[in-house]
Amino acid sequence: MIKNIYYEQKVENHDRTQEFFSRFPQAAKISCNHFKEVFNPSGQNFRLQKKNPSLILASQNGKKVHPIPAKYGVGGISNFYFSHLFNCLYDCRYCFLQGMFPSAHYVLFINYEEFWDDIRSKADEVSNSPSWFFSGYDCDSLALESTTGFVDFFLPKFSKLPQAFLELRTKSVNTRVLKNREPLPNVIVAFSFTPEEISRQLEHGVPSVSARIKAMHQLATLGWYVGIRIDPVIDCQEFESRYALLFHQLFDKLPEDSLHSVSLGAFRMPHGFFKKMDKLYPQENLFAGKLSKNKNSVSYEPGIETKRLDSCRSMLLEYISPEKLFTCEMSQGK
Amino acid sequence: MNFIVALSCEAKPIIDELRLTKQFSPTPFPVFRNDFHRLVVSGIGKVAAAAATGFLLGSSSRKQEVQAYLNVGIAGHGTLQTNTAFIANCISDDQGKAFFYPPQIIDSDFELSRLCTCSNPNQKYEKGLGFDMEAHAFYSIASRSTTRELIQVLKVVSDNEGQSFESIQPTMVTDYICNHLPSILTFAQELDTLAKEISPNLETLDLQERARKIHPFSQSQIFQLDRLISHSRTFDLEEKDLIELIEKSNSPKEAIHNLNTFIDPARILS
Repeated sequence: MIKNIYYEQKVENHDRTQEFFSRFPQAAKISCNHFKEVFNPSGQNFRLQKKNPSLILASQNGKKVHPIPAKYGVGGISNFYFSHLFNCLYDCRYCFLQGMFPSAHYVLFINYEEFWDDIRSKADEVSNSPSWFFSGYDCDSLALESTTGFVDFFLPKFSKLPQAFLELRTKSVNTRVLKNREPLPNVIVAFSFTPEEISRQLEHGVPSVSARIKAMHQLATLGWYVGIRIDPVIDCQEFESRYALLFHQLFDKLPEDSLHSVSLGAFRMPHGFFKKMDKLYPQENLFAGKLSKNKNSVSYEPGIETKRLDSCRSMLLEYISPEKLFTCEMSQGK
Repeated sequence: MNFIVALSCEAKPIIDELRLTKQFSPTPFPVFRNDFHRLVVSGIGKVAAAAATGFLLGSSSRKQEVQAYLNVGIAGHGTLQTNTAFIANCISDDQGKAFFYPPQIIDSDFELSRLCTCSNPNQKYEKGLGFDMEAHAFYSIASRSTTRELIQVLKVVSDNEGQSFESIQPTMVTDYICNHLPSILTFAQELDTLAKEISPNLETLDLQERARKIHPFSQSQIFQLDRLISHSRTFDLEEKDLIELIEKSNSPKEAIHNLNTFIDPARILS
């Protein structure tokens, strides 16, 4: 339940803003000049705000579509990400957003049309090859769909731009918006997973692994392309058996031709983000694990990382062909 | 919990209810306290509020604990009825451009409103806006040393278009605060609970303190030692085992090595 809605004065009369105001009539509405006045001040506590985040309605006037880090894609040559939303409904302890953002408030950029203009321009620039657009970097693509209507807006647009691919990355089982329409061959619904025991410890507020698998299988059965994201890989006791079971559950009933890709990424974090997260949760076992700092990044000690990734890779290749497996060497776990 | 209150007549219900006693050592502001609460009577205006807040921040005897700060008082309002209590969710200053947006984490029944802190008593009641003379200065100082979620401003409307501020009597002010006292104190208690949640673990701090005294650790070794002890607490390792291990070590370097070796097997998620 949203109790506070901050809004930039310039979006006050936007249709989407007014729609939010009428959908949350009880919420206090507070105007601001720029969303950064509310979102950016120092001395905020992400952990406390996560208990009751407010919604900030804003307009993204800067660059809207960005190139993704090298070696992060799932087969495309021209890869971009865009963020219509900052922050996530869920509270995964490994998530880099806790270290990156000063606030846990949701910032929703409501100028979807302008995002679309920039996406189309980028797609046109590289029209000789498919371009990829990733939407789940700074948020979960589906978890707040009933509030944002993001997918509902963008899917019809992507249906008319077949040379552009959209990845919706999610841990949500809120897939109604997809079930209600014809599958699009250029949209991949990518679900993130860790083994159930890890999920229970680290993925707070996230639907169970079995519920996510069920949602993914349903979409695949309906004809949607799905992706599987094993990112971040988390070192744990009984690692091999837990990940083996997860992979069995994931691929057991999944129609092979509906699987677009599987990506694998180790737990890795910019050092500054990690320091902030460690300070927020000093009692968190994950942060007291066998981690090491390498240059500006914190990750598992090299031997552990290599061993765990190799292990996952060989287990995954029992189910999928190598062309469908991608390792995200720069991943940051979301 | 720390209360910053401008007037004695605003403070009285809180002092009485919490049984705060006046601190008799010389202080620049009247301070009332018990084991868990402190209240300072700042006097009216921005400078007084800023100075009193700074004084409270600087005189805390529990520097390791995260603390909450609540400004309680009366305010004028352009829309709300008198005797309505509200939390300020946007605080402006009549002579400055900076705005504060205290993050609202606690679900309370209080109204939420914008609030403008004025240099002089305000007689123009703008719709939807509250008016006081301290909140912005209070917030400006408190937010330099405490996380913003734990700094809140809670006002009770004393004057509006229908009732001028000139008609306000001290007894009315006390009554306004009294009428909302249970909710004010519940709100304060919830702020305290949030503060405790992010406060450092005092047992861990104590253990770190004791461990540092065992050997002549260098500054960088102290950093490593503190971290190792913090991790050992994360994994529920026995305190006596840690101390014994450090005591048996022949040097600071060996102590750190031994601690590392001791903790290492636990460093994996269950």
